[in-house]
Amino acid sequence: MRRWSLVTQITAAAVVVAAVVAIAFIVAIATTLDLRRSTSRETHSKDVVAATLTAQNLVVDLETGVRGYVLSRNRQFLEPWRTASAQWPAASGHLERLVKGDQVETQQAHTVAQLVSSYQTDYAQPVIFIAGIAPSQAIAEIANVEAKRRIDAIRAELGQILTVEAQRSRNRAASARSLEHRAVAAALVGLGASAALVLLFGAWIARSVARPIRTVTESAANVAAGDFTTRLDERGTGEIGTLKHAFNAMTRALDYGHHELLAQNERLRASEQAKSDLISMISHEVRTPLSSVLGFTGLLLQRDFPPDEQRRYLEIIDTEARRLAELAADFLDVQLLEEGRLEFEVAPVDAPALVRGQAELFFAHQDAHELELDVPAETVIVAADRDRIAQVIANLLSNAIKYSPDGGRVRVRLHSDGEAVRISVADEGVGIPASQQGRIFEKFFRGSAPSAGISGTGLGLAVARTIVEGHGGTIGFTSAEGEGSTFWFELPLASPTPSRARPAAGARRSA
Amino acid sequence: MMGEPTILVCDDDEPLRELMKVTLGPDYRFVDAVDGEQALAQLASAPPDLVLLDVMLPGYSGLQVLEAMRGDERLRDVPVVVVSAWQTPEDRDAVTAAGADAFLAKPFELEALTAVVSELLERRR
Repeated sequence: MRRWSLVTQITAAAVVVAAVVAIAFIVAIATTLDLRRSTSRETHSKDVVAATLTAQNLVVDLETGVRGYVLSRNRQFLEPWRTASAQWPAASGHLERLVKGDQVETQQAHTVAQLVSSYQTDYAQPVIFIAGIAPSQAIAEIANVEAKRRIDAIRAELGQILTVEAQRSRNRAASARSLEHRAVAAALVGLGASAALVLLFGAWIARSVARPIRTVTESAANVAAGDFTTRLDERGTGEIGTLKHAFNAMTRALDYGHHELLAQNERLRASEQAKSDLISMISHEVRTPLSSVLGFTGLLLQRDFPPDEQRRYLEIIDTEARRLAELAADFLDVQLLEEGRLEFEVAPVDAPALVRGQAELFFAHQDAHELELDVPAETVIVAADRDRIAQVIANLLSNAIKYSPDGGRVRVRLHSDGEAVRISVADEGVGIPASQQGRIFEKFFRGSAPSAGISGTGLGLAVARTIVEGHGGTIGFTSAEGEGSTFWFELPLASPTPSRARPAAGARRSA
Repeated sequence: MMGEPTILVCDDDEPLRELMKVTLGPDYRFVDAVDGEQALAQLASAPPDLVLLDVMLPGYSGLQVLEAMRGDERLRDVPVVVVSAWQTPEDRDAVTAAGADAFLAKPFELEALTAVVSELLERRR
């Protein structure tokens, strides 16, 4: 059933119903026609009986007329004879026409006609004639056996026709009654069957079409009300099954789209929140150095200070203004990196040379700190953005110096295991308290650095991590409070395939 | 009042502490605190005549320090000037609700700082 479409099924069922109704009607009409035929045959039998009786009466009239006239010799008694004689040809013809279809009866009717004709010409007319001239002889004539034999023969023939037709009439009446019953029964059965079939058909249409449509309508209302989890039982024939399947596909798509939209909305909201946080953070981070710059400038303009104090305040202004400049640069970096708009100019870079160069640059004017360089002499090539990796190394070196205010040794190592190169910067400074270690790469997180008088934006490590991860590398550290910190990062080595460095999420590679 | 008034300067930014001290000048005695913990320790050892308090401090925030002071019998009446880079209306409301006597937004005018400090100390005397 399932592979037949609903249209096919309904059409087929309608054809079956129509066929059954048509057959019922044909049976009823056929039975009615039979009944009519049977009734007309019964009527015909009755006509034959009537015509036979008429003939019999006329024969009686003929005989009575002859006998009356001969015995009374009164011509008035001859009247029945005359009338019957005048009526006989028509009556005889009528009977013969009625029994035309029946050979036996036709023969009998013919015989009757001959017998009557013979009775009239060979017996009755001579007797009437004799009665006019010799009445006694005529009386003797009617008394003899000849007359009685002739009349009896006619009566016998007519009697046979009567008997047969009476029997036929009874039979035909019985058959007509039984046909009548059959016709009524056939009509009733046909009507009943048709009515039942039409009812069944209606019920089936209701079950297979109307009810599923109502279910789908109710579910559609649910969906319209915002319930995208509405699902239908997909059982159902042909188009109904397809409709339910399509409905479910639609709600699934809506549900998915709805969730996507919610998720996208959530992402947008989070992104907006991050941006808003960044803006207030920037506002806050800018205000502190700005307060010092404006404040000390104001003091220098309003009051007179000894030269050494003037110089000290100018140094503060210089430091804080540089901090502002550094902030401005870092903000831009953070923004570009977060949006994935920063493109890495990836090219083969000799990592040891880069590390050596940065270290020497930083330690050229450092007296308090001692540089220990553990970098191999041979080249180790990584696919990287030279300036950005230099920025990461500079940030780690700058932190090592800043966070060991009492000086000490700074160890810079580069080590390659054939798959990746690991660069580490270790200091003997203040270290990071365990409670702050989890937040060290967060933007603007500076731990207790500000209270220790160590300047910075809190963005350097966040930027460094984004750059390293954008190159497909990792960055990390180990630290103990009071003993110093070791920050390291690893970059994949340039393999025979040109570059394994990945740009930051969403960024296009330009090399 | 014996000698010059004592002011507790609590801010995690060293140049800013110095700016406030230089601006207010030699008429006051200053005590420094670089975070909330130090501020609470200083307050406990010797109640000052006035507190200049930053909000964004490592460890205990300025608001927590302020609430602790208002809950302490000896420190309840010490005037507090909150000096903060946070300056949305909500921030100001939170600071006022916590019991600050004055609010200065960074960057502040030097005259505003001297005026509010001398006024609060005058009122207290």
